Amino acid sequence: MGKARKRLLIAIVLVLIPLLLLTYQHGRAGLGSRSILTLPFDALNTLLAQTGRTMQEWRTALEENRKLKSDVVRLLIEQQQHQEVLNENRRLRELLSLKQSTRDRLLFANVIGRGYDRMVTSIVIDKGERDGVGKDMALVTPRGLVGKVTAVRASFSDVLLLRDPSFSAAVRLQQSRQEGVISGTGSRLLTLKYIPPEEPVPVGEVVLTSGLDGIFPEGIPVGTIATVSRDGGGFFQAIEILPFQDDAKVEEAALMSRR
Amino acid sequence: MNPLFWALLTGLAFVVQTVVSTVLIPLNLTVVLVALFGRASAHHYTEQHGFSGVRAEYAAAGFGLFVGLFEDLISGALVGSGMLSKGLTGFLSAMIFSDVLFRWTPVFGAAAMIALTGLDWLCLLGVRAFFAPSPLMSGATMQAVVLQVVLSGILGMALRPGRLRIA
Repeated sequence: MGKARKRLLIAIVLVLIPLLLLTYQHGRAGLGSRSILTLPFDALNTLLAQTGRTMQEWRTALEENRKLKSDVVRLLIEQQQHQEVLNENRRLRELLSLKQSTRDRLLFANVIGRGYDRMVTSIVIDKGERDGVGKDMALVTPRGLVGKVTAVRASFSDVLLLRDPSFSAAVRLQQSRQEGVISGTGSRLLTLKYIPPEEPVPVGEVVLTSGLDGIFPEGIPVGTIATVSRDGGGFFQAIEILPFQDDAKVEEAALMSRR
Repeated sequence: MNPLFWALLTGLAFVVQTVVSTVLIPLNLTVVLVALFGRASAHHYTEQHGFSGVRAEYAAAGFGLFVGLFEDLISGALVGSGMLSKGLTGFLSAMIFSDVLFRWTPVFGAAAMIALTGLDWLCLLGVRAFFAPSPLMSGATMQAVVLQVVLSGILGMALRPGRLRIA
């Protein structure tokens, strides 16, 4: 057989085999899913499709996980902010009740920082001269006295805290009506001075401002008697007072001026 | 013959073609593979006997039929369309690169590869038109044809005969 004929034969076979296969499949669903030829490839296709689907699900789960983690962080922050708002709301309500319970003029202020001067214990509030703040105004919370204004600037003021050794105020014991003067000690506890030894002072008795110093309005709660000591034989008893208001926890307060 | 090399190359071509076609652009690397096999086969028999004869065409056509069958089976299309196009591609590739008809040059390599790719698409579209009446020449199909023709031309120019040997 010549070369040209062989080539022709190959070409004919090459065309015939596929055409016969195609003709056989025409009108049928391919070679049939049970065909021996297609079975391994069906299995391979299924395996590849399954692997692809699993990887896609895995990727989706990873993305979802990442998103949920960021959502959790965001929600935690929102929850904390919500809690802060609730706390602020409660404090402002208490301040409002203070305004309703007193006849003195009140000016509400926020604490914006601790004092700059390391020699005195003070805080800075966001109200100043242009808001009507004056020197020696009392800073109070619904719990009690916090301190007094010592320096006034245009839009903020310094408040000397009870605990400062240079702070003093005229006070009165609520039950016995005994008068005295409180002073800061540099620590949390205050000193009540000028109470004679014969005067009974029960622990736990409430101390209020007396108004006799001409600075603080009368009747502001200061604290309770913490310890009483008559030892030492001095002219007066050594009495310590625990203030109602912890100055480290003051965020909003009211400035009170005498009428 | 080095069947392991060609088996690996075939596997690689199918994997690359499947992956790239799925995630990027439709590719038809198998037509290039079969054409290269036909060319390598022709050169091999020419080196052995001084002329390639019909044995190179037998081998290339058989390889093309096998690759076409494999492609038809894994693609789930009608079995036969790939066999016809790839079988003819292998056969014609072995014939035209036999050095008796033409000697390889970069331009001729590119032209031959473009022609074989065009034939492959023609067979595929013709068979689909007759045996599986469905919309054929969409914009996406035209884009794939043009892309594949350009790619085949580049590969036909770049792959010198000495680089891919059949044995």
